[in-house]
Amino acid sequence: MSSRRILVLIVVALLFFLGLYTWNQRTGQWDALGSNTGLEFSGAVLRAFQSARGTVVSVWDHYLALVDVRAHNDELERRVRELEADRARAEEERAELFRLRKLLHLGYPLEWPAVGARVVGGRMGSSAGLETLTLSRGYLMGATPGTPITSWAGLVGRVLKAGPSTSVALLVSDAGSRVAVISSRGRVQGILSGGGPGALLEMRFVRLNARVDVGEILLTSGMDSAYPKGIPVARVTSVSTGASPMQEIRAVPLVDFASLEEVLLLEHPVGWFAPETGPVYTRRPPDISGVSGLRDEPLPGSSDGRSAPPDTRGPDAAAGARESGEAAQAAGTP
Amino acid sequence: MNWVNIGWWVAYACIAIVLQSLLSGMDFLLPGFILAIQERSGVQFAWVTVFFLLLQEGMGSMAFGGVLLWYALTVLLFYVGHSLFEAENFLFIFLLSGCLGAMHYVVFSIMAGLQDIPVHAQTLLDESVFQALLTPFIWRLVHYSRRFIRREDPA
Repeated sequence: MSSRRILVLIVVALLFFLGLYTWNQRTGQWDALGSNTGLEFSGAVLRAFQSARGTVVSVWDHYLALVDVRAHNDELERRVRELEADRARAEEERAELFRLRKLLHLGYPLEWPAVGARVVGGRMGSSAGLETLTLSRGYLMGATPGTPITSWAGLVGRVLKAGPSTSVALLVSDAGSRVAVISSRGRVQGILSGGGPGALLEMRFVRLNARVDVGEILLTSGMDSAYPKGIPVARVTSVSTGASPMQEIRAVPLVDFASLEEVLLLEHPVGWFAPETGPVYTRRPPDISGVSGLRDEPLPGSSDGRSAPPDTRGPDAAAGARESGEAAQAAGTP
Repeated sequence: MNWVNIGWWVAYACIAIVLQSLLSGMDFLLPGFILAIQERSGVQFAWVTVFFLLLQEGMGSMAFGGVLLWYALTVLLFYVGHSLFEAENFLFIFLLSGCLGAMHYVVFSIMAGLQDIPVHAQTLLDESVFQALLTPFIWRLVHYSRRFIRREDPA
C-alpha cells in the first residue's frame, strides 16, 4: 500500500471518528450503550468480587479474629446509651420545630426517600477523567443521573451515569463539581467548587464583609435545586482576602471518599424540579414541565413519621435557583 | 467457535475489571487487546475489540470516544512497529507500551479539552507512566497463559 493511500485512510478514519464523536455528543447513544452493556457487565463482576471478598473478611472478622471483642462490645453498648439519650433530646426539639413551622406557615419540606447502595469500585479504566465511584445500584433501582448521594458523614456527590443495576457517581471533590452551600453559623451563601484529586474545596462568591469562621461546617443550601437543604458537605480550613472583592475560603470534605463502603441515594421527591434529567455531562436544556410549587403534605412525623432533610420550597427557592445559575447548571458540570 | 477461547477472554476481562477497580486509571484490558492483534484472527479481533471498547467506555466517566481513539492508535502503532520488529519480541512490546503511554496522555488531554473537563495533568501523567511500565509485564503473563489455549485449539 502506498504512503498516499495510507494517509488518505488515516484522514478518512479520523473524519469518521469525529463524526461519531459529534453524533454521540448530541444524542448520547454511544454513552447509553456503554452504560447498559460495559458498565453493567463490570458492575456484575465487581459485585461478585465484593461478595466473595466480603465473605472471606466476614469469616475472618467474626470467627477467627475475636481478640478484644468483649471490650469492644462494652464500649459500643456505652456509646449506644449515650446516643439514645441524645436522640431523645433531639426528638423533643424536632417536635418543637414542626410546631413552630406550622405556626409561621412555613412550606413543608419535601421528602427525599433514601435507598442504600454499596461502593463497588473507584475510578475505573483509562477514560476515568473525573473523580468518581462505582455504585451497586442503577436506574432500575433509583440511581438516575443527577440523584444526590450522601453518607453518614456528609454529602458524597451525584449520580453521573447509570446502567440498569450499576451507576457511576461524581464526587464533590471533582474539579468540575459545584454545590450551592450555606455556612452553618453565619448563614453565608456561596458555591462550593471541587479542587481535584487530594485538593481542598473552594467556597466562591462570598463577599468581603460576610463572616465565615475557620472550623465552620458548610451545608447544602438547596438553592441549586440539585440537593436537598441541610446536608453537611465540608469544614472550613482557611479564610483569607486578596486583591479580589471576594473572600478566598478553603474547605475539606467531611467524607473520606477513599474509605467509603456504603452510601445513600436520595431519590427526587414527586414534583421536584431537577435541573438535569439526562446524563450530567450532556448539554440539554432542562425539562421544566415537571416544575411544581409547594405540595400540600401532612406534617412529617405526624402521619408516617418518616424523616426528611429540612427544606423550604417556594417562590424564594425558585428565585434562588435562577440566581445561582452556575450551581443550577450542574454540580458536576465543568 | 472455540468455547474455551471465549471463556478465556471473558475470564481475562473479569480479572482485568477487578484489577482496574483496585488501581484507578489503569487499563488492564490493553495487554489483552495487543495480544488479540498479534494473534491475527479477524473474527476474534473484531469481537474482542467491541467487547473491550464497551467495557472501557462503560466503566469510564468521560464521553464515548477516548478509548476508541486510543485503541485505534494501538492498532496503528502496532503495525508501524511490526514492520521493524518481531511482533512477539518483549523489546517491541516494551517500546510499544512506552509509545502508548505517551499517546494515553495526549489522547485523554485532548478528549478532556473537547468535553470541557478540567484535567489534572499530574494524575494523568502518573497514570500514563504506570500504564507504560505495567503493560509489558501483564502482556508477558497473558501471552504465557494463552499458550495453553492455543495448544488446545485445532486451528
